[in-house]
Amino acid sequence: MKTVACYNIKGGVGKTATAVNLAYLAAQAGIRTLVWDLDPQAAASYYFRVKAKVKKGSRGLIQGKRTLDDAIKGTDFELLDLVPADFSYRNMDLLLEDWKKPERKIHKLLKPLADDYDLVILDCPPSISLFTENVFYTADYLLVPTIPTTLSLRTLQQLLKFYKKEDLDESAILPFFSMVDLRKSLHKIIIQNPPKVLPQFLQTHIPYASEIEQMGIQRAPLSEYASASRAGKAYHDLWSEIYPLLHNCPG
Amino acid sequence: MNRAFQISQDALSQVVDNLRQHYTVTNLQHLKYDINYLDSFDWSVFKKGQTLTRVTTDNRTELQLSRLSDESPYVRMADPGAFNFVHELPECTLRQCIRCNNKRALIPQLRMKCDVRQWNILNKNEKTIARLSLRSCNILKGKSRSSVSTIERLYVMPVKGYEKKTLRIASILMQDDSIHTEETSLLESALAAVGRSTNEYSSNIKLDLQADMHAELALKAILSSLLQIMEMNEDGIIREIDTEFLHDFRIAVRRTRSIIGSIKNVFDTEAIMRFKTDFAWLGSITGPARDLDVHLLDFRHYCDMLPENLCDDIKPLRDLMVEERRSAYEALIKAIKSQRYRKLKNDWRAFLHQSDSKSKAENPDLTIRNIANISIWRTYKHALKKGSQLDAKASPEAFHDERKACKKLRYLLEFFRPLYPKKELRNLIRALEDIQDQLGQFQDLEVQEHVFHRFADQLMERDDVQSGTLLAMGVLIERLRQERLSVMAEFSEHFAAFSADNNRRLFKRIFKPAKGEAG
Repeated sequence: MKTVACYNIKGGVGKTATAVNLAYLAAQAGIRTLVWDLDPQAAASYYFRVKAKVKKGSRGLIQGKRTLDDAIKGTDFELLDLVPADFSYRNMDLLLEDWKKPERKIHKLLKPLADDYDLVILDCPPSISLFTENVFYTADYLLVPTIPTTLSLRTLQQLLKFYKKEDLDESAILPFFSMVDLRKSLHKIIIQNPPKVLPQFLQTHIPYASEIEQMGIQRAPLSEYASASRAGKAYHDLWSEIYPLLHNCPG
Repeated sequence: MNRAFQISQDALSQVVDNLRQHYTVTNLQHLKYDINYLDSFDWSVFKKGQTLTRVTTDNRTELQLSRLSDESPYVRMADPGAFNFVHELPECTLRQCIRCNNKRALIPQLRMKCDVRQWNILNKNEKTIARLSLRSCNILKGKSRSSVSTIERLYVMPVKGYEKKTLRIASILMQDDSIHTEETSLLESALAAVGRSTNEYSSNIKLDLQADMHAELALKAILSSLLQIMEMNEDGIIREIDTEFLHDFRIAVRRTRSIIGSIKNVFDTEAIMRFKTDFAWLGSITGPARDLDVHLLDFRHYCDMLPENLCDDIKPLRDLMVEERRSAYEALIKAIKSQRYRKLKNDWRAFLHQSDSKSKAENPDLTIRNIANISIWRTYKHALKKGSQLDAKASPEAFHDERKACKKLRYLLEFFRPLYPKKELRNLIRALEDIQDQLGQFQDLEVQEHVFHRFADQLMERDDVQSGTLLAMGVLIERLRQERLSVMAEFSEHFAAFSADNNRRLFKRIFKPAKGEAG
């Protein structure tokens, strides 16, 4: 089982759209996929039409009163399941503090599911905290959607600095440009000359596109209603780019 | 868990309309695909509670592993390519999840052409809470596209986290008189429709023997089963599907020889003499091929016995074994296709089906229980006597004799198992198994030493043999000898457990013939 986290310190960069669309494409390729919507805003749960509620909330999960398996809901798509968000996730940091090795708790919760899923995609809330440290410890890869703007690149630098400080494996960070609008000269310049101090960006750019925004209306992954669109093709390309990294997935 | 129902196409629209009164039912997909069930000859995947299928649509082929309990694939693998054994699949989750006898090849067992209509059942939020799937499956004949039978089945498939809804949907469906719950799996129903079953082959004899059956009738029933096992394995040997075909064939021959050799006063001595010779011939023609199969299956173990730097040096040995195996199989296949073998089977079958039984006329009260007691007790005493004479200095021949005696005893206990108390017999077989393992190890090591000496001589005659190969074989032979000596040294300890008082008492109580019964 491989774990990929969609993460950025900054919000509104396309993390959830990435998590939902890649999960859909993985399942279509025959890979048993689980999305864990860790963001209390619950956008991924909304897209999959699943109620954002986990019985006994994050406390129940962290304290072991409920297993993660109990919380899983099937989506409308075969081989694609979801652990829905819960509003109590906002207090996750406080709960984790009470545990020994708190940074390994998410990893521990996912471990029993290793035989049931080939791929877990974590849709993370924006921030950097004890909770997100869990994500860094758990994820084999960190997909970081990055808008080609100065502030976004700065947050990527902050993430990198944190990895260095904590002696984490920086090669797990896979940034890619997201919400790209080539009519904007800044976007154009940054994409053509990404800062050399940052990790290598993936080749695929996800465009800024109204079809992606339509996900909220359609409540479905992009490939379900606009597979041939520019954005739909871009997610396909992104999937093709990260797929070779997921060695033990079938297909 | 999936819920399955029997349904006819005609009743379907009514059933879906009924459901629409309670839920939104969307007509989602119409799929067409071919299913090829892959399993070993003895259905070991099925027997471990799984089914493995190769599913082919117009543009995609995938392997699907399902639990028998719900018939839904839980692991898939796209484009698996050609493979015969599980270990030939690429490293993947599916490969790790398959449970089966790994020595057996996975062969196409049954083909179906399926037409599937699948609906999503939605709740008020338009979220899928279950799926309804009507599968119409045409069972195909052999490799052709012609269908021999059709099965239609409706499934309600739960979506994880919404399982309770499936019960409600099933109860709504059940309100319709035209559909009925189906408990048998699709595979089993399909096999039954073409007169087959997953129990069609077993290397074990399963006969309902009664203690008061006449001995000759009971023994002929056992021997007929053994003949059937031999015949069922012929094709697999000829096509070299996997090594277990020859293994099972050879065991059936040995068991046959064991009965005709150790059971006295039942069969016509003159008639049986000719068959003894013929089955001995079958034993001898299967031996070399089976031995080479075993050596090649164990080859990894030989490498492990050597220091790492010598492991590559025995590759020529492997090549030589492969070459010899080729010739041994050619000779064996020729024998199986021969007139002599055909005649042996025909005559043997005629003998087993002969109704004018001499022994039945002469000795109408000779029951299978009498004969079982006599032969087991005699063989047990023989094994006990031979075993007590063995120590670390005993000759390999003496160990070999004891191994044969124990094997005979094991076969007899297994043939006549239905006549005796289950639990006690199981304990005795377990005690015997331990000593057999020990003797089997000894025999294997002894044979390997001899065979490797012979292979070394053969390699010496070649111009291209490297000194490293002969050196590695020398090391290997010495390791095998050391291992054999340690097995010999441990034998008395194992024999002491087998011949312990409690086992002796049990053997005596169950099998010792009453006075006047001994033959």
